[in-house]
Amino acid sequence: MIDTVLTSHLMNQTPSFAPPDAPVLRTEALRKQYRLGAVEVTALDGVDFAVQRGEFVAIMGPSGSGKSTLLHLLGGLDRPTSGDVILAGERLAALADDALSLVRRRRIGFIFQAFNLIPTLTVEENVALPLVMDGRDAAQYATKLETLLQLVLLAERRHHKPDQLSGGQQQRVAIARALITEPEIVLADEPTGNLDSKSGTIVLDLLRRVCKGMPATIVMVTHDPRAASYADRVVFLKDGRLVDECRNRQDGRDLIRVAERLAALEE
Amino acid sequence: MSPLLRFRHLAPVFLALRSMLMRRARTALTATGIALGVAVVLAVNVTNATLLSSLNAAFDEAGGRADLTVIDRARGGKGFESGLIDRVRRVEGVVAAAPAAQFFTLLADDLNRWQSAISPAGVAAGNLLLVMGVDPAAEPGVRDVTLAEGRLLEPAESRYSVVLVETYAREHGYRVGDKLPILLPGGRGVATLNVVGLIERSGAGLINGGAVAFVPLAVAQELGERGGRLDRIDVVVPDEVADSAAALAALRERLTSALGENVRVIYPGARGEELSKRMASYRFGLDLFSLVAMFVGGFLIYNTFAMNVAERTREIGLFRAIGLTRRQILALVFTEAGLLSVFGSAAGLALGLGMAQGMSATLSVIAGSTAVPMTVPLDGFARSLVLGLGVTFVSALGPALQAAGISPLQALRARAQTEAGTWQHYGLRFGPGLMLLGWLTFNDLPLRPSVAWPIVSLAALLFLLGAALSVVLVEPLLTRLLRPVIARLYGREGRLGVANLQRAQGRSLLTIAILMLGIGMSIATASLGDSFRRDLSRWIEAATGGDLLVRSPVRLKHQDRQRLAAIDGVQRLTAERFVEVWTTGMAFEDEIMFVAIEPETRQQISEFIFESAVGGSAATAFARLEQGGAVFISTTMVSRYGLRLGDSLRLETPRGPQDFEVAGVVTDFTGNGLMAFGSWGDLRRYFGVDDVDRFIIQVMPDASVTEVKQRIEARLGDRLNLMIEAVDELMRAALAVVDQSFVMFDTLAFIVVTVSALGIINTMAISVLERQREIALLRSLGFTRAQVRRLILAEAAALGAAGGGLGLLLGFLLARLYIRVVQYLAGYELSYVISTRALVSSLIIALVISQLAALWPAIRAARREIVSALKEE
Repeated sequence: MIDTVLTSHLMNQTPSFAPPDAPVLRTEALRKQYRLGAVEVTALDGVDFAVQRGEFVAIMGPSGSGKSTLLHLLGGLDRPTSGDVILAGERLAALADDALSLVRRRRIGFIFQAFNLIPTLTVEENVALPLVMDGRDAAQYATKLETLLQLVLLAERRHHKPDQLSGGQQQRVAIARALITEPEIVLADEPTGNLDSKSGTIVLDLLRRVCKGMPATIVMVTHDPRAASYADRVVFLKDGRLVDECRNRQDGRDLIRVAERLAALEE
Repeated sequence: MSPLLRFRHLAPVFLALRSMLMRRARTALTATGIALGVAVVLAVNVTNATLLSSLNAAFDEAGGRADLTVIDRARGGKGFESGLIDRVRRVEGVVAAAPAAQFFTLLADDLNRWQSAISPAGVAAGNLLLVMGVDPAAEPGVRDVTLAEGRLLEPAESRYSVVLVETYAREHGYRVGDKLPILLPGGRGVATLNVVGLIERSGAGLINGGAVAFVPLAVAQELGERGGRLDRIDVVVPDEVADSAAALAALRERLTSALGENVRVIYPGARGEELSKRMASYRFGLDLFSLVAMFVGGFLIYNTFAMNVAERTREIGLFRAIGLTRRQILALVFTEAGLLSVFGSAAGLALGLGMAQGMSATLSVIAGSTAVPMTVPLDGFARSLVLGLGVTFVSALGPALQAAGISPLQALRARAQTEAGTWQHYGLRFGPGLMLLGWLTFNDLPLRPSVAWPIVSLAALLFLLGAALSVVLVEPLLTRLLRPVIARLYGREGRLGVANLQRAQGRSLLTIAILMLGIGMSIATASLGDSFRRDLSRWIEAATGGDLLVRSPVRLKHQDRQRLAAIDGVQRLTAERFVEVWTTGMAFEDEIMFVAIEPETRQQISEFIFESAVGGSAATAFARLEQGGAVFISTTMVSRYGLRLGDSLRLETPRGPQDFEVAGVVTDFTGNGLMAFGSWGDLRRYFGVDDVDRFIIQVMPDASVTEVKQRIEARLGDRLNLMIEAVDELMRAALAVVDQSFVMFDTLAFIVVTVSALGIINTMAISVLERQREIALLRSLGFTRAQVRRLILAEAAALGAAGGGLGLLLGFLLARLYIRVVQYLAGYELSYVISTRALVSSLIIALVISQLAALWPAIRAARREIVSALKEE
């Protein structure tokens, strides 16, 4: 079912003219320091990292390794102390707040651990919110909205409010919302962290299919090896630095390999 | 497709509406806060306008279309020659002139129903009928009447015909063709008039509130013993002259010089304005209250928005994460503020009109005027609306900017919490300074009353703002002091509750400040009321010495004193006569009240409250008065004219301008407080008057007041048309009027307290909503439901005690300022009284309100399922 929807969706896609090998997102010596009282904490310590178009990347690392900070900087939610994030050729560090907001609105999709849906809006409205807030005529996107609602299997629940949905359903709404503007990149912060394993599997499966079918570029932070095993590539972070990387081959052994590397980092 | 998606341009409206619907309770609380603020302002505006228009109407209508009015130069005189009318008509530029002679009397069958009202505003009430003698031929050019029944007076009519106002006639049961018996002045019996027509209660029918009887000029002159003299000539001039202030003033000059020294040419509206000045202190009080209510209302709105935004920090963070700009966030918050203010203001306008109706009715009782149709001033309407919308927007500005300013990441991470940072920043820096500035401005008002109002209101706002900001300075100390008390009352939960307050400092500060303002206001109001009440009571008790007050609607003769003195049980009596007189050659030319007293008997019967006296004692002052050419003046006169003991007060007497030495300064609240007491000798000498307004009788120590009263009634009552009142009863009645007139102030204070109570309910509810998770955590750790309830109630008690305590302090200061301002603007010298009644009740109210406000949130919080609350973000 999802595949048929994706195929029909693909036929409406405009082809991307970016060179296939150019990274859609990369960072240059990304540093982030916080001040916690009198103590200076270095959350990221010179990270160079690139994501290719259509790639599904998972960022893993022990607690405090800086993976969430990295995601926030990639998404323009926070500003680096030094270094830069380049999204499809645009340098984010130099952008003013309004311009950065525009980048988030049009070129980045977010999926949070806590779903973060607007409680007062229906499923349909939550999904269309980025369009509405961008001043676009939602009517012109009716087909797209419909496609996405079917994709996340919530077409029948379009008029429900978030509190009438299960956690897995809420996260699927968030995925649809992240995709509605056809962003350059989708950033997911522990998307399965609040879900039971069955719902988690559905969400991960959905992300993988979206990535390959649309195609979409996804960067996901997780500490769950099972979730990471759905990605094409897993990068490992420790003490604010990239320390390791592995490519998944999408066979049964990926999970074990990822888990071993993570365990090694945590020692 | 949902409307949000269909009408994308209205997206902020839909989002705001959804959010308001979802948080119904708080939406209602906020809208109510706005509504109350708007309502108070509108009600005050409407009441003021109604009162002014009713006062002005009464005087404007007497003059009708007249642009100028000729009156006796020295009021209280015997009027002026009829021949003057021809001289007026000959003056170039006079289009029409209508003469009138008039006197007040009573319907003969009204005698036993004669009411008198004492009012602090000094406007005489009662059912006196004004008999107005007019020239029917000249009337149509000057006064407008609409015939309702029968006919109008005819030119050259000389019969005892009378035209009454329809409403007055109906109330008293008279119809066309009936005989109307009226009392004649000077106890000369009863005259009977024939009712020939009734006019509508409009135009000239509004004179004296409709209690007016139009008779031919000659009839009024005969019945009123005016001896062919006139009391007024109303003059109409061409429109182009009337429309030009300069041309009208020039014509007034020409009239004055053509008519000679004995008359005065005035603008007819002037007396209405004069009277309305008497209400100035009330209007001022109302204005000040509406201002403060607006401030407290604004504070509540600010508080609500600050909380609202704080609670939605995460949501706003999410909006920012998905790419909303700061401006779009501002638009969202402002849209919600706009919707709330529109709903709130609309409700406020309706509520305000309702309140105005009640207040106008109360005011007309105080002013002694008949209730008039409500006047809704367009600018007042607009002003309250603008205030409602404006205050909401200004209040929303801070929180909106704060919301837009948070970085998305901060917002997403944040647990909702109101920042105390800004408050601390400004509070420490500016709070005490602003308070001091406001205080100093109040205490050294350098300007005249006419320009002082904007300054007073600014000073009031500065002071209140400073006080609100300064809360941050004393709050830590207060909570430290309160902790052991609350801990004792509420146990361990109490200790935790106080700690919670310190943690959520921003929210606590707002709640404490709101409560402080409300309590402070109500204490200050009650104290101002008590100061008035005490001074008025003191004055009423002193001024109304003696046991019986004997009056007649038609004045008594001085010789009547012997008849009264001869009655068994009368020990001594003293006479009083009131004469209206103009001051001249002074800083202001006003119409003041000259009260002739008999110094010797007067000091034996009742006292004056001397501020200062020639020779240092009442006895020497009375002795000086007796010698003649001297007066006691009221404290109000002192502040208006800057007179001191030994200075001269120049009055325009019928004998020409005359200087009177100030021999004493006394407290007096009669009328507008512009009073000068002189001797009976001076009354005869300078005013040519010897009749009496009232006798004050002292009864023999062993005689019964009631019996003496009955004896006087039996012996002289009918013959002299006497109205005899026991001073005791009168005093009680007067004190009751004083109490009554402060009902309105109490009502306003109550509204302010209500607004602040709403504020507490609001903050408590939000504070509990904000902490669902935390409370669930406590429950999961083994807190019982009762403990959760106690925790929240303890918090509320701490807030109530802190706010109430600071409110007491503020009340002390605010009361001082109020009294100072009333002294300055209204001229009343008031002593500083702090209402202990208000102190105690306010503190109780603060504690009770805070407990009541916390009750529902406490119950709700205790009832929440632990697991679902724990999951809540």
